[in-house]
Amino acid sequence: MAKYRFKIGSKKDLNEERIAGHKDFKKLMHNYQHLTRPIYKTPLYKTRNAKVLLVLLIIILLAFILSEIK
Amino acid sequence: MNSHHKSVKDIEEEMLQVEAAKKDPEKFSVLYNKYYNQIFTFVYRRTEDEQLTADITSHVFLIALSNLEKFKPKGVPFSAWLFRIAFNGINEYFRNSKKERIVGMEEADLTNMMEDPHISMNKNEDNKLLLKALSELPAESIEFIEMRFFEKRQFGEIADIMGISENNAKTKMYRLLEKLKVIMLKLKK
Repeated sequence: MAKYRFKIGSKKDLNEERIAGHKDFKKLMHNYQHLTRPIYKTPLYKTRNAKVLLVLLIIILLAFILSEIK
Repeated sequence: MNSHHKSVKDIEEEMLQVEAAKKDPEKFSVLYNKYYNQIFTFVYRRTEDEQLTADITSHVFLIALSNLEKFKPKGVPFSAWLFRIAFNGINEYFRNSKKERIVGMEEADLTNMMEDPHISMNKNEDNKLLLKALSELPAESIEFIEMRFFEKRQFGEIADIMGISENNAKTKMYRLLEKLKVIMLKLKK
């Protein structure tokens, strides 16, 4: 539970210009798109990323070797 | 300006803006620009930390935008929903960080509380006694008092922020003030 500190004195809100400095709708849209974007835009097997393809190949090879050992 | 005092026409117009934003998130900018300052100020009064406030406020609008589909108009301003998200966000932050939360007030706010018919203590009574009694209340009660007496919000607005009915908010407040009076009388002995 949060602890509370009571503070008596004139309440100081930030002025509008200062608040406006933090206002950034483009950043909000960027974060929103990042949040709602699918993890993979293209299926893994269709990717052109060499590293991903290499990992996939190794997994397939390992699976094949393990099945042969049995 | 208190965003809660809106005409039916204003609320209907706002619902059209919400519907437009559901179809095209870029149109959320109208609501974002309209309420950014109010939400920022609401958060800042509770944190007194500009950067933290900016982060929480951004988070509030991000949650609102990504959950816009779930928003159901109930004849209250869209801001009530935003305030509720902000309220929960602030509580979550302080719960996780275990930091102290600031409750700001003026001397006159405490005097007004003392004069409330449900407390009706002598206004010359020491405000320190009231503060001591306040510190013995649970978190939800302090937030309730903060919104009513220190931010001077209407019962309807408090009810919307806390997700309860207006009548429930009134009943809770009266019981709370009576409880506060009992604590003060105990402390006085």
